[in-house]
Amino acid sequence: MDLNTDSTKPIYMQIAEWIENEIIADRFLSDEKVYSQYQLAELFNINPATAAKGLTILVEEQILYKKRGLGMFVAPEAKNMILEKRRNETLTRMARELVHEARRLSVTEEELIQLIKKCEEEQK
Amino acid sequence: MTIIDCQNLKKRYKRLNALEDITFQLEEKKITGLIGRNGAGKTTLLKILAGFIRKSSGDIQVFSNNPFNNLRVSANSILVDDQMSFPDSLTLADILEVAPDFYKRWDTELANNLFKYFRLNPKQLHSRLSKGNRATFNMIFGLATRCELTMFDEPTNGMDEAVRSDFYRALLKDYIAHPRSILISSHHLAEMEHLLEDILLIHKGKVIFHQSLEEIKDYAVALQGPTDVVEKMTVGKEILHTKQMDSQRKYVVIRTEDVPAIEGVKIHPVTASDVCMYVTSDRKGGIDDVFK
Amino acid sequence: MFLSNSTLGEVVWTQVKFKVNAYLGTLVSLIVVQILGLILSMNGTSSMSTNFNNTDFQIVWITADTVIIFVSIWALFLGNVITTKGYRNTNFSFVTNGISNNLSNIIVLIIMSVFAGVTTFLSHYILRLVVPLFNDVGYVKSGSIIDDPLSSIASMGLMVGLILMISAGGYLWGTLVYIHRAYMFLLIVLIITLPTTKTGQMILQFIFADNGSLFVLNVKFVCVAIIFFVLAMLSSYRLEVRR
Repeated sequence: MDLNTDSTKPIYMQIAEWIENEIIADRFLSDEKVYSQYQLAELFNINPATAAKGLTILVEEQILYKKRGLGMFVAPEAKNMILEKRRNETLTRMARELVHEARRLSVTEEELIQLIKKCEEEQK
Repeated sequence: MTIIDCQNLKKRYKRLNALEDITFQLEEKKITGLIGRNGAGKTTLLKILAGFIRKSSGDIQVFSNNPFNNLRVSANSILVDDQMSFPDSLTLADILEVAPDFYKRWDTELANNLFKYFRLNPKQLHSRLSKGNRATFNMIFGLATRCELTMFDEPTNGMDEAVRSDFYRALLKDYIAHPRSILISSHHLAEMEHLLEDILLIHKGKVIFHQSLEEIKDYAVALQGPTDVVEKMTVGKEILHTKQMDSQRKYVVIRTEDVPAIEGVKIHPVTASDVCMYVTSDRKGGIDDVFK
Repeated sequence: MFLSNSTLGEVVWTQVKFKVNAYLGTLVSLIVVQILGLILSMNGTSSMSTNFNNTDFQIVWITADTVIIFVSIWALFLGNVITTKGYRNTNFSFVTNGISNNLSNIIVLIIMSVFAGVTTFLSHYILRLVVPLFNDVGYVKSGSIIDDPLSSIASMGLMVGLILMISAGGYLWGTLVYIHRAYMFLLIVLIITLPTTKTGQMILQFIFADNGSLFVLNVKFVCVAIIFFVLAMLSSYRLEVRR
């Protein structure tokens, strides 16, 4: 498992995102235990404190919850919360970037919509 | 708990002030990178912490003791560097055998397993080892002591690429299994920053900053775009580094703040390694300016 | 956090074990030096010729004095060599501080001196065995350890004391040289001034002459050794590890 150390994103954010991806992909189910900071540290070859920071973010967002002495668990509504958040944040940002790039390349609004539709077809 | 407490620590050699003013505290069970350029004072600081050399003035406490000539500090700390030496009458295997007498928490299993993994010859003498193998052996010795304060001074010097990454991995795994305070000096921050929790950056014998790695990554941003636009944007700001990309475009690194998005100007993150390089640079320009 | 609290005694003991083990090679050099001394002793250290009733007598004293001189030089170098940078740095690769390093060095020197003293004393028995094999002349033995155990033990002790004193001198000398190279010439200055100046002669006379018994002489040897060791410890107290 590799992280992108050169990325704009801090490593702890990438850890948080990785756990979110695992939850979306149903590899961590509701009320199931997720990896500890030490397991994450070993898995990604990073300092345990950095891994802990990634977990803390998810606890703050209530995607994970803590059981004293037992570890971190996936909140019942975690998957939906993540999907909601991604729709709001990630997709909007990507759409903004797409529009920005399209304008730079003098792609019209019409053409852009066509392009999106075409991509949609391909994915089916 | 505080492991190291340095207040206005100074060290003067005959003609050189190696440490001008070092003040910092190290909390227990963290991996801290001691970063600085050549001659910044990293080695001097580590030798004082290990109790090998005396401070000139200021205050230093390691485990609440002045480390110089202190048995408690000697028994609970280890400094691994390329100056480590062992008697020629002892083979590597002999050294690993006498070590547990000195270090009460010596991990024989770890020492033997690493020794085998790195294919060192037990009959070899320490002084006859190649530079890379000596660094590897010293690293094994340092890890196996499991000292509460484990210090490495440029540990990967002479190691090849594969051994380096094995070393960092071994260090991390052993730290996870037995958390302790680890201080690693290096001028190669990039190759080990994933391991670090904190960074202690020193320059010309002074502490520039002592912060978490993530804070340092947020320390600066780079703006890249048309020279006139970038110059206008950075007027009055603290400029850490500039580089003329070509005749029209310029790259300027400033302290992080909210810069307005401007058409044509790209905002890049600056890696921790680059931040350390820029803030310890005495010049604003780069090597390119020498060849103008 | 776990901090191991090693006492000075424990560390000194561990260092002594380590050093005896590490310096075992010096015993090989001791044996070489002793054999060399013995070979040179075979022809006798001094002789006297007389003529009695037209018969020529030649009396040859065969002693182990040469061995003692050789071993003394060995002791001087042993004391000196363990203060050098290479030895010092290897000691500091393990748990130690200045005091435990000095104390363990001193104990190692005592152990080595006892070994060297006893073997040197015994070496003249080798002469007793070997010399008659090569010479067919009349051979008069002096008293042996069986004839007079007390005085033999006293001279054995004297040998140990002498070697210890010389190695302590080497240790002090080496320590001073480590602090500053100029002390290198200290020994040469001492060798010249001690027998030539008045005070020097007085010191020598006090130590080596005017002794009621071998025991008093030996006590003086040991006292000088202690003074040398204490001086070495005091002068190296603030010494850094230059590795």
